[in-house]
Amino acid sequence: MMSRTIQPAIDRGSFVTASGPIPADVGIGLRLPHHRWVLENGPAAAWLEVHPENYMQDGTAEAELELIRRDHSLSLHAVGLSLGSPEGVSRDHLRRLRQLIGRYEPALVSDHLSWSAVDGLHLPDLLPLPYSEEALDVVANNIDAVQIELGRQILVENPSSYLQICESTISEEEFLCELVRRCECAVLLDVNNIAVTAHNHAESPSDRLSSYLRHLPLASVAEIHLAGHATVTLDASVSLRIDDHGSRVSSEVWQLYAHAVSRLGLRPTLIEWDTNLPEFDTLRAEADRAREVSLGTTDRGAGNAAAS
Amino acid sequence: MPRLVEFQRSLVTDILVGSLVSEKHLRRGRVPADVAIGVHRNTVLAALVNAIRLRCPTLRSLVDANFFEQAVRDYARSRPPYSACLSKFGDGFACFLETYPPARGFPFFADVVRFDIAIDEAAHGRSGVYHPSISLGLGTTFRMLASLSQISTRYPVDMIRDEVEAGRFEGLEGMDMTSRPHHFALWPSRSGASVKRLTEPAAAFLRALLAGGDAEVGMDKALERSELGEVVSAVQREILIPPLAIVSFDGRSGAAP
Repeated sequence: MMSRTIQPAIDRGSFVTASGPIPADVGIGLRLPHHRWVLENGPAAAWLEVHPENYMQDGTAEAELELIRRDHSLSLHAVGLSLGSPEGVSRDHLRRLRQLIGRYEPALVSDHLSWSAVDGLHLPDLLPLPYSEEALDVVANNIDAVQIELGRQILVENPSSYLQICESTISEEEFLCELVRRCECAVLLDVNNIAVTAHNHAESPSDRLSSYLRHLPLASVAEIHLAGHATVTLDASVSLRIDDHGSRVSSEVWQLYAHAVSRLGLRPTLIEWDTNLPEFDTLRAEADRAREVSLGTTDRGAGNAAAS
Repeated sequence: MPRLVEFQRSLVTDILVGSLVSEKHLRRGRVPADVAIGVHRNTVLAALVNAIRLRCPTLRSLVDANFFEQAVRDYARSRPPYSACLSKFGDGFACFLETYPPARGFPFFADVVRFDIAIDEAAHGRSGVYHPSISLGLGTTFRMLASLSQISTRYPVDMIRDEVEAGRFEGLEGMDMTSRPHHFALWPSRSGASVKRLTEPAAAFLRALLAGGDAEVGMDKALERSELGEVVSAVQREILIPPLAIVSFDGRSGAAP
């Protein structure tokens, strides 16, 4: 393993950045079609998150994001680092990400527990990893390389999954926990992904979330994602959940979120919506609901603690 | 071979080709392997179709949605992306269409794509940045816009794009689609990209400069097919004008002599 001389940019207690913290409040995933709305309507959410891969051309979108950034704390949620690639992280991609970090000064930087690139070829998807010792070494080395290059801690998100791989020898949560231990990275807990993965692998979503919360150091969870998913019926007894970010958060995911917050306390939480993108107000309504759920949950937790 | 790379290669093959060679790495689960891999295949291809749709709006509007998707899917299988940043994906799509059997009979499709992509490139260029001075002799110099580009096509792609953007598809029927040279200069503007039609000598001059030549090389290239007077006039009227170029006489800016 490489030596670790990383100064974590994130103090998980405060999330301080150069121009403001990411509050333990609900943010919104900002997509290009909503730029105009946000620019015309002023502060649009407690904070915003974007995919850096959409801002690597130095054109109109980049200039607009610079204006938007003046009024919002920002998180960069990458989809292109391919942390599970044995060939390593693309130096070119990492250089561009570093430039964006310099330009927008995001409070958080994250990517996924997945891979996209092999033999130089890069598919635009978050592909599944076997949870094996070999993969653990690959991902840990890549996270180390990214954190050293960026000079900051990154968050790693649990994926949604449709396949189970024979070479896996430990669970996904154990794998992620080991990465936290080895790399001192943080975790981005995607509650919708837990619901999707559990359903597709015939597990109980609440059991899977509980297992996650049992294995992970709770302080390592620096952000939570919420999104909608689609359900496709395969036959009378089997359905498939697809993590398409194309609808409102399901009632089951709201329940899981409440459970997660009851254990974790308030965390920066994000509403993601990518396909069938609605008006921005719909995203704000989802954010309001997330705020109600999290505050209601933590209030009840405080009340219960006082009562006991 | 390490097991991880072997698995990854097999899954990429399955996604792109539609095979099931990764199946030996997969546990039999609730969701059949082909269905699960199909989810990844759809995600990958939908992202690539969307990337080219954003870069090639004219072709997308010209053709049936199914034709467009199938063409992009066939292109993506033969030339998959090599970068996480899809803003450049589709650079070879025009060449692909030239020999794509279903597009036979529509030879202008490739040029339409070429023009759309040139506009997309221009729209992402930096405006207001100029190259160092190039001498024209007799104390006259000019500085060319750094993000200026030039494209030549065989069909009137600017007119096709205008008609399609305005939804005047009937206007395409009467258009002269004879194959002959059309030349354009492109540069970034506030609204995206600006396009200017060029005459043959102006295009030859600009092409030579963009390839790294000086003014003399540019003139020589332009003179290969045109008379001197025609070349001088074309270069003055079409190239040595703001914002394409800033002309200076002994250090003072002004209009071309």
